[in-house]
Amino acid sequence: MRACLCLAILIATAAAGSADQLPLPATDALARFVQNKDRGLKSSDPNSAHSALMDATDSSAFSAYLVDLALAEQPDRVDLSEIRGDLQLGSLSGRTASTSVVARPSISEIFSAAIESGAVARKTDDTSVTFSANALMVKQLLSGAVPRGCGSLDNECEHGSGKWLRGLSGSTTFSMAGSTVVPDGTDGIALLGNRKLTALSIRYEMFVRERNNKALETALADFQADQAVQAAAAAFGPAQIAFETHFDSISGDAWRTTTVSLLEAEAARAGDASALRPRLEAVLLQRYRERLAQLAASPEFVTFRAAAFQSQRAYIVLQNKKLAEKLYRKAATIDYVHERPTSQPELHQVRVVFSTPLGAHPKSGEPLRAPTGAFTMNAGVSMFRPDLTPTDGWKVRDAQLSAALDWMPIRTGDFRPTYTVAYYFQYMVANGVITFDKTAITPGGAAIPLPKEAIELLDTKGALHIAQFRASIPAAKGVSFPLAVSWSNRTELITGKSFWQGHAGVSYDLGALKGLLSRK
Amino acid sequence: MACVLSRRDDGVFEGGIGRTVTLELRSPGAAGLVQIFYAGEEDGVAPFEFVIRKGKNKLLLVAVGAVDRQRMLVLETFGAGECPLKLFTWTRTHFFTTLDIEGV
Repeated sequence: MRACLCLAILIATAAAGSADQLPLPATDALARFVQNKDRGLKSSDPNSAHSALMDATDSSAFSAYLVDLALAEQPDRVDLSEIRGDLQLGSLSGRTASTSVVARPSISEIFSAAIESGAVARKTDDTSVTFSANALMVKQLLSGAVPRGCGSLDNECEHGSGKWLRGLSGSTTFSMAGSTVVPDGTDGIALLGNRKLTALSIRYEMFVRERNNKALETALADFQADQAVQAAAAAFGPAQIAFETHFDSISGDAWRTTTVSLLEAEAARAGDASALRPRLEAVLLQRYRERLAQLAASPEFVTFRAAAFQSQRAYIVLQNKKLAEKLYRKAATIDYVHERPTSQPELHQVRVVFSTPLGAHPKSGEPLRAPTGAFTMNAGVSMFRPDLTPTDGWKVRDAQLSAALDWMPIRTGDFRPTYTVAYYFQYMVANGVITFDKTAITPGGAAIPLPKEAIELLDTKGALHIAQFRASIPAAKGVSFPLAVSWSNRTELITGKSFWQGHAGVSYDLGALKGLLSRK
Repeated sequence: MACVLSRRDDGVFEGGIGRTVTLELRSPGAAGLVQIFYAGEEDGVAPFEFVIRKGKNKLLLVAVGAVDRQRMLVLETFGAGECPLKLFTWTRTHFFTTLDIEGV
């Protein structure tokens, strides 16, 4: 959990550092100014350089700056966990400690962590810890932006690299069992304290709704006839006009005239067009900051601003919810999982995960919620390289097919558990292999030499059937306790003996870290 | 017949008091326009018609956010003609723009 804490601090620091920047309407207006050749002319043509400067300094551009500042403090986006029941927060490998036999298609929009005990395809009381991170969040952190992930209302995931990074995620799973500690590190690819890294995975969610412009357009078209949206806009309009009129009345004309003069002077000084834009942006941002500092001293301004932002928030939240409930439906993901099971050759698994919600679409005006049911299917194949002989190459070790049916009863208060019935089928195409390193000794201290570094187990080919009942019980925002019991007809490496296995865990969806960005 | 509104060097749009103006919005992609407000009292949807009042008043265009970011154009229309007034970038979080209109 130390990693979670570090990440939280990193996110909060990045958020604090990057919230104060020019809003898009202002940067776009300055870009128009820079691209224009007629900078010296005063023209009323909206495409002219002069109009661009007017647009960058008008009350709505400054208001957009205030909106960005306020939204950085109160992001007001819909957490994925509120509307999706298909988040995969635990291990993606059933061979390490895991509480689920079926992988879900989506991960946290920011970062998640899970501790789980009881593997699916083995009988073990091992405990594992899994960390998953969304690539968009990492990109946002590295570029100094607020690491909000995507959520349900961000242009960040609709253009540029964010459009594609949104669906990409990775996870690592560490075994916390003492029995897997390897002193010389020869059987692990990394050591974390006494915990061995047992699985690495990369996954890509193919049905990412934010980049489906058709779906977005359809959702937006529905808004025109939505009375709730109309009502929110009706409340916002007069409040915003009153706010802008108020701050314009506090030496707004003088501020604008001085700012335009400063921008024109900067443009005259800068020779190179490529250097001009950042210089203009720096001047304008400084002027915005000075204006805010001046205005913030007025209690009246604070009151007007709060009223305008309250109605704007209501409008944004409504848009968020309505888009979210329309967009998050079917999901499909492709996984690559690299596994390092203890004393077995490395496994490379490719898997397809598909999920669809069950039940009626939410009706307009209903509270936002995840669907009451979901059906999820996994299909995968695992490869390995047994190295029993020097000429041994890659082989298919097993293939898997699994399905889960989730039921999420209607929420009462904050309590909305998920009950799952799942079935997992695995066919062992090849016999299992156990590997020994050179320091391996036989039990009891008797130094019986082992025949070779890898030995093949006989008769492990065949079918593995697992049935599971699982309950995921939410404890707080972003925190849930999965509990499961599963029955298996055999393990991967030992046939002929069925067994029951209990699983327990705790998962943290740190999408709730966005709460840290709120400074109320 | 010509356009009523013209933009001054200080960025303010001006027009004769009592003159009727019709505003329209043009965007390259889908964007659900919700409402236009003038002087904090009148409101409607595009094409929006209003009568210019005395003094400086604000006209606010509020819309449901666009797909990705879009450059929008506010126009004054009359008969078969039109006058482009203001360009702005429209996203789902920056879903409004303001025109200062002074009746003279």
